Formats: sequence, structure tokens, C-alpha cells
Amino acid sequence: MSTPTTRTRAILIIENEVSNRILIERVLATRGYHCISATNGQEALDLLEREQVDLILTDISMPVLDGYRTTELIRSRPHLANIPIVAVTAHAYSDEGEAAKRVGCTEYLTKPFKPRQLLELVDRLLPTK
Amino acid sequence: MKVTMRSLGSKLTVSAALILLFCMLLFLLASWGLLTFYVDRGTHTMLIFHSQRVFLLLLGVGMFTFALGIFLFSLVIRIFFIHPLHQLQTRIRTQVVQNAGAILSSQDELETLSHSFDLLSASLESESQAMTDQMRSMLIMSDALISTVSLEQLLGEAVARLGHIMHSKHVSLLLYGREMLSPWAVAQWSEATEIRSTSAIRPPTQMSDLLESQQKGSVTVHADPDSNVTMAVTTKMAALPNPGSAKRKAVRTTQTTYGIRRPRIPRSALRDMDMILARIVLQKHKIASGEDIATIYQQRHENWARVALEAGYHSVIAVPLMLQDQAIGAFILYSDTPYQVSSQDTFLLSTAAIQASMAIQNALLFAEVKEKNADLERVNNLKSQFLSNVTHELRTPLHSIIGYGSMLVDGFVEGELTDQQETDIRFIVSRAEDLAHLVDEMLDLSKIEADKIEVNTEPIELASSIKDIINQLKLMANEKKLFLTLDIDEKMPQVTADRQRFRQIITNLASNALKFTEQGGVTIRCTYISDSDMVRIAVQDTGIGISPAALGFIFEAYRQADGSTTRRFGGTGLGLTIVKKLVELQGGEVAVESTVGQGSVFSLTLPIAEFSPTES
Repeated sequence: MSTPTTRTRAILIIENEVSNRILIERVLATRGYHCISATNGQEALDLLEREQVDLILTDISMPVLDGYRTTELIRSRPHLANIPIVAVTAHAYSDEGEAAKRVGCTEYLTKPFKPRQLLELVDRLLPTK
Repeated sequence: MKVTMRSLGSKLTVSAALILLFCMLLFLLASWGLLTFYVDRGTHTMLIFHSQRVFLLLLGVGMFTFALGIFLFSLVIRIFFIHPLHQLQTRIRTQVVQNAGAILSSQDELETLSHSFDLLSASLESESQAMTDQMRSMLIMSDALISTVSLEQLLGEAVARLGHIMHSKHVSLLLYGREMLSPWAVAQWSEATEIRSTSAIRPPTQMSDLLESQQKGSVTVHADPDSNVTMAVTTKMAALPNPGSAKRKAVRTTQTTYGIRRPRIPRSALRDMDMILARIVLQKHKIASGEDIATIYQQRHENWARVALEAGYHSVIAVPLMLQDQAIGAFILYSDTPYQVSSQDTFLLSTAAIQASMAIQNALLFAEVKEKNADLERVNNLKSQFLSNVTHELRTPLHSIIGYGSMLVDGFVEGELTDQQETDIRFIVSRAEDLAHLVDEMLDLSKIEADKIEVNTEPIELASSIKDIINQLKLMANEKKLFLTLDIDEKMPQVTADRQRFRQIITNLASNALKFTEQGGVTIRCTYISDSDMVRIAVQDTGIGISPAALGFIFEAYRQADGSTTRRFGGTGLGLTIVKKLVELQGGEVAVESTVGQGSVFSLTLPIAEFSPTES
């Protein structure tokens, strides 16, 4: 396994809405992040069995398994207990963000967000060493 | 001379003195006559005095006079004392028999009298005690009825309590509606048998007894209010045909239409005698009683009387339940002994009936309001659910538009945009943002209106929080070349507010102020109001101002000051409504002052945090 300094950072995007998912992938790609996508929490959990990622971006309202439950399940796995998870919430003034933090998310990003905001957050959570 | 004497003692003294005087006079006359008689016969005066015969005669006259005096005196005593005493005694005797139920043994008059008075006072005391107890039970019942809002429970309470207060064997309560042949609600209470065996001496009716009796007596309630409870109050509560000359006719002629609605009350709960008696008082609007059913049956052979006798009832009182001047039902109280209805009973029962009918009306109104509320809540929940779904569906594409647009103008795609293209895309993004904001506001408002919003208050440092907001809005101010400043005392106490909501409120007011201002700028000023321990946060602009007519409804939902500003500045006017509700949820108030052409001041108050210094 390569060291973090040389390895391309992998980010898991959990988002059921395809246009949003592509948008995030494209923005992150401009900084050279490697993106893996899942359309719901269950898929994400399956993916995490095989893939190693450095950060997870998860939508909150999704079919099958929502963001809160997904986060809880991810956190329950010892090797993923400390991975940064960013909740992407839909409503500016709702308590979704705080709720997400309570179930174990590291940060939250409120939609609609500008590409810059996304990159700032991801860069802050994944500092280049 | 006529002397009137009031005191019995003086009468006695005077009559004794008169009798004494009379007797002495008589004795004097008799002895003088006797002596003269002997002198006439020529006897020597000295001899007369020495004669044994004359002495004995004088003694005889003296004794006779004395006896006469005694006789006269006893006659006077008899006239003045014994006769009134006898009269008094006879009267008392009847009173005692009536009130205390005891028959006096023929003893000495005075003894009998004192005994009678003892009995009377005891009976009066127990009567007044019973009256007080009944009144107390009445009050307790009234309390219980008023505080019971469930109709069935209320009817059960009413019959059980009334049955106990009136020491009845059975109480029925029937409620009728307009044009109903059968009642729509029936409540029955029957005294439990074990109580009867011990109730030879009636215990004072008290709260504890009441509760006990309700547990021991059996209560059944059947009610069939319309599913539409509005009808319950308007139609069901309405009276039977008016009483008066045409009453019988009225009942008969409308009988054919009664089939319209027959409330679903089990046949077993409908007793014919109840319904017959109820109908009588419903038409009379007055209390009716059958004090001795056996006699009634012997005289009139009425069927209900036979049934009642078979059930072991010997007296009955039927009380109409009146609401204003309409009869809505009746109480029927049966007792197993013939019973004479007193005016106190009538008073008590009328009072109970008034209380019960008012309580019934309350219960029906309450049920109606509750049902309406449930309906409203259902509709409101549907609306909220709908809004929530719709807004989610609206937001998702909007977020894509904003995201992709921003990606284009912020240089995340290869190649350069022309200035025109960039302006166009920025326009698309900004309009989409407006729309997204509007959707957020709609959802917010629907949540507030559905009371689904929670505020988690915590102490908030005003200066730093507002500076953060100003920093975010600085860009917007700079673009319009407006100033945006904060005016705050360094020692300002902390306020209690929900951090997120506080941010939302101030952002909303400040961005609004910037939106409606073309020259000058916006000042956010915080002042401490010492007499109410609140902090006032005012957002003052130098904008277009608001017309006095519009100031009154500026915080109302879905309105903007006027149509022209709507066109000029966009937006839905939801922001201020949300601000107002959020501020109120946090214990504050909003206010607005404005002069057209000079600007507006939107202000709000928030309570200060308790543990912060209250003096600046």
C-alpha cells in the first residue's frame, strides 16, 4: 500500500441524485481527487467492504438507507470510526446539519453550495501532508 | 283603670295580691257578721269570746276563706299557665311527629315540652346538616360535571352523583334531539344492593361516599352523537316542539317525520317508562313527580306505573333538562318508597338540571371543537407533507442549476467564457438562488405554522455573532456601495437565542435592508433595555421606506408592502413573517418604524442570558 503522500486521495460520494453526483465528482476531479460513487447508503456500505477511501460525502435524504443511518453504520465499523464524513444537507436553516453531526458526521455542507465551498471543506479535512 | 301587664310574673303577683285582699275582706266580713249575730241574740260580749262555739265558727269561716283563696289562685294559674302550656304542647307534639318522627310519651307537661324541644332542635340541626351536605354534594357534582369534557363520562357522573345525593334507587338520564322519538343518549344508574341493606339510617352525603357509591352503584351509558358533531349542538340540542295548547297535536303531526334518524341506542337501554316520563316533562318544561306510584296505578291504571311497581319503584321524580328555554332531555329519579317532594328537593333538582345541561352543552361543544381541530390538524399535516415533498423536488434541480452554473462561472471547466456568457450564467445562478431561497422560506414557514420548529436557546455573544453575519453580507453591501456597520456597547450582556435561528433572523433583516436601500447603508444597533432585561437589536437602513398603510401588515405572510415593490425587488414577503415567528418563539417581539423616502428600522428584542451581568 502506498503512503498517503503519494497515493491519490479517494473520496466516496453517496448521492442518489445523478446530476448532483456528477457535479461533485467533476469539482473534486479538478483537484485530482479520485471519486467513487454510491447511490444510497447500502451501496456505500458494500463499497466500503472492498475499497479504501479517505473521505466520505453523504447526502441525507436517500432511498433504501438515509444519510444518518449510513453514518451510524459506517461509524460502527472499527476501521472506519475516524474517517471524515461530510453530510450534504438540503436546507439552509434546518437542523439537518446538527443532527448529522450528532450521529457522527465530521462536518456538514449545505446545498446549494458553490464549488469553491466544497473544495475548501474537503481540503481542510484532507490536508496534504 | 285598665292595666295591661306583660310579664307572667307580675300577672301572678297581682292576681295573688288581689285574691289575698279578697279573702281577707271576706274573712273580715264573715267574722263581723258572725259577731253581730251573736250580739243581736243578746249574749254578753265577754261570753261570746269565751264561748268555744264562736271560736270554732270563726276558725271554720277562716278555713273556708283560705280554701276559697287557694281555689281562686289555682284557677288563675290554670288560666294563665296550664292552658297556654297545653296548647303549646299539642302544637309541639305535631311538630315533633312531623320533623323528628318521634311520638312523645305522655309525661309531665314541662318535661314533655323540654323533651320535645330537644327533639325538635336535633331534627332541625340534622336537617340543616343534611341541607348543607346536599349543597356540598351539589357543588362537588357541579365541579365534577364542569370539569368532565367526555360526554359519556359526564352523563355517567351526573346520574350517579344525583342518585346518591337524592338517595334514589335508580336514576335515568335521557337526551333528546329535535324531531327525535327516541333519545340519542341514555345514562342509567342503579343503587348497588349492598348499600341498600345498610342504608336504613342515611349517612351524610359526602365526597368520599359519593365516590364509593359510584363504585358500588352500577352505571351504564349509551350515546350516539352524530358523526357530524356540529349537528349535535345545533340540531340535537334543540328542543322538542314548543309546549302550549298545540303540543299534543304538534307531537302527533310531526311523528311521521321522526323516522329520519333513529339514534342507535341498544333496545335494552331504552325503558318505556323512562321515555314516557321524559316526554311528559319535556313537554311541560317542569318537574313532575309521582309521589306514590301504587295510588296512581290504582286510580289511573297507567301502564308505566305498573311496570314501575313491578321494578320495585314506589315514587318517581322527573326533571326536564333545560338549555335556555329548550328542553334537551330529562332526569328521572326512582325511589323504592313513597316520597313527598319538598320545595327543597325541587330547588335542588332544578339546580342540578341546569348544571347538567350546561355541562352537556360544554361537552358537546368541546367534542365539536376537538373534532374540528383534528380535521384541521389532518389537513395541516397533509399540507406540510405536501409542501415538504414539493420543496424537496423543487430544490434538487435548483441545486443542480446553481451548482453547475457556479462551476461554469467559477472556472472549473476548461476554456474561457465570454463576458456576456459569464453575465448570463451569473444571472441564471442568482435567479436560481432566489428561487431556492424562496423554497427554503416556504418550507420554513410551513414548519413554523405546523409548530414543528424547535428552538434550542443558548447564551449568545451578540457582537461576535453579528460581526460574522456582517462579514457574510459585506459582499452584497460592497456591490451596491453601501455601508454595513454594527453599533454595539462592548459590555452588552449575552442574549438567549437559538444560534441558527438568530443567524437566520439577522441575516434576513440585514439582507432585506440592503435590498431596499440604494444609497447610504445599513446599521445594526444593539441596546440594552434595563427595565425588561431584554436587548433590542435594530436594523436601520436609509432605503425607500414603507408606507404607513403597509406598516400594519408587513409581518403578515404572503404580502409585500405593495405590488410595485414586489415587481421591483422580487421575493415573496415570507422572510419577515418567519422572522416575526422565530423571534416570538424565542421570547421576543418584533417592531417596525419607517418614513417613506428616509428609511426603515426593523427591530427585535431578545431576553438576556440569566447568568450574564445585567448591568452594562
